[in-house]
Amino acid sequence: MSYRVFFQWFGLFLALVAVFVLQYSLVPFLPGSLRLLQLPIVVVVVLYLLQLPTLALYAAVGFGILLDIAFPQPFGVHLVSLLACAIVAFVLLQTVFTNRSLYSFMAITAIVSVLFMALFALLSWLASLFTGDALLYNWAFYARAGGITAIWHAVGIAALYYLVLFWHTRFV
Amino acid sequence: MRKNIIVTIAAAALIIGAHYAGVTGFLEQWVTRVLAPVERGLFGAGEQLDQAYESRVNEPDYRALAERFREENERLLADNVKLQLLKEENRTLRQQLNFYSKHEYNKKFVNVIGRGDPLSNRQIITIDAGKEDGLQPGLPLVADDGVFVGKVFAVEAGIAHAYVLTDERCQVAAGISGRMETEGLVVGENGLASRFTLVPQDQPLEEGEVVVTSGLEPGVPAGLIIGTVQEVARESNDVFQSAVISPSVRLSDVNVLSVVLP
Repeated sequence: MSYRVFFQWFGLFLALVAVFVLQYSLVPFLPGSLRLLQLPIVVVVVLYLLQLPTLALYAAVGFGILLDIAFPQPFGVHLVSLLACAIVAFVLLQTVFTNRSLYSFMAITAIVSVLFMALFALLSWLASLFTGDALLYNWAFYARAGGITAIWHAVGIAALYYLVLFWHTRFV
Repeated sequence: MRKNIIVTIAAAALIIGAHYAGVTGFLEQWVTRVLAPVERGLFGAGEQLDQAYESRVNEPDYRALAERFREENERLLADNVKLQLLKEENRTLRQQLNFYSKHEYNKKFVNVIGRGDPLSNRQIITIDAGKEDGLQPGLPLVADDGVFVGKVFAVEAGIAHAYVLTDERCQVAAGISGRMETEGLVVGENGLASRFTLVPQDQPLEEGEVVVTSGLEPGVPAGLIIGTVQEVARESNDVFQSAVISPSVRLSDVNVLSVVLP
């Protein structure tokens, strides 16, 4: 492994950690529905936008592990949900939204956001069957959260899309 | 890419399995320990952000609040004025009832509905009772506990006009309370005061004495309080003496009165 590749991976690792720390420590304090944001999903889609699909998969796994360590849900809930989202996003890019337009990425983001929330709720519920608090599950909350995060993430991706475009035309 | 996906899925499954097998415990602890300081720092920032937002959201709209308080204050002031008037009216009525409980007079309670006559500079009041209530010119207006206020001079349907004590046209036969042999005439003076006049020089007249109606005049019963002697004017070469009378009520404040009917 060359130094260049090493530093690239190290940089990615630091970026992942930074996003994780933001997600864990800052996002829960954001006002209103902004606290439902799932930054890892946005990062994964941005990596697809940057045409780094392998990195997107690794990022999903990395985020999943960190979030599973940090949050009280059963280990694997974040990991499986994020990895599934990354794979579905990749499949959508390869099969449905192939033109890589802004709207494609927004649509992919919205779909994987809803998917993440659905998977997260389902896996948490399955795990809760063993702990006995399944009856307390608030499905309506997850449905609403899926819709809200889909909108916020899509808006975020739109902004980042133009940022990447600007950076690409200016510096690459 | 397909291979990468499969490898990643396998890696994820392995990691999850390792976690539940308890193999990765030390690694997770290490990650938690390493990240803890950064998380603490950001947690503090997050809390401050949350508090700033909450305080911003929950901050009352002071302008709207001030406007609401101002409106409420105006309403309360208006209520207060109404209550003060009612209190005053109640006090007056009580005093008048007290007065009439001691005397066998026919009476008619009236409200003052007009005051003054700017065009003629007369000291008059208008009351809300008229011919149909049995009022007629010359009847006395009484305030509080039998205090003479003025005399009706014009009666119409539903209303009547009366001179108050300070009007020059208001004249009433009077005497000193408890010493009715001292007789005279109380006359209004320039709309500002009243004067007890035509009191013979040989009759004693002292400051502080209470002047009351003498009852010599038809329609005006004896004993209605007019005021107190404030200043006596006595000239040695004059047949009569006089005195400035200080009214027993503020004539500008009376609102509820009664008319002593014949």
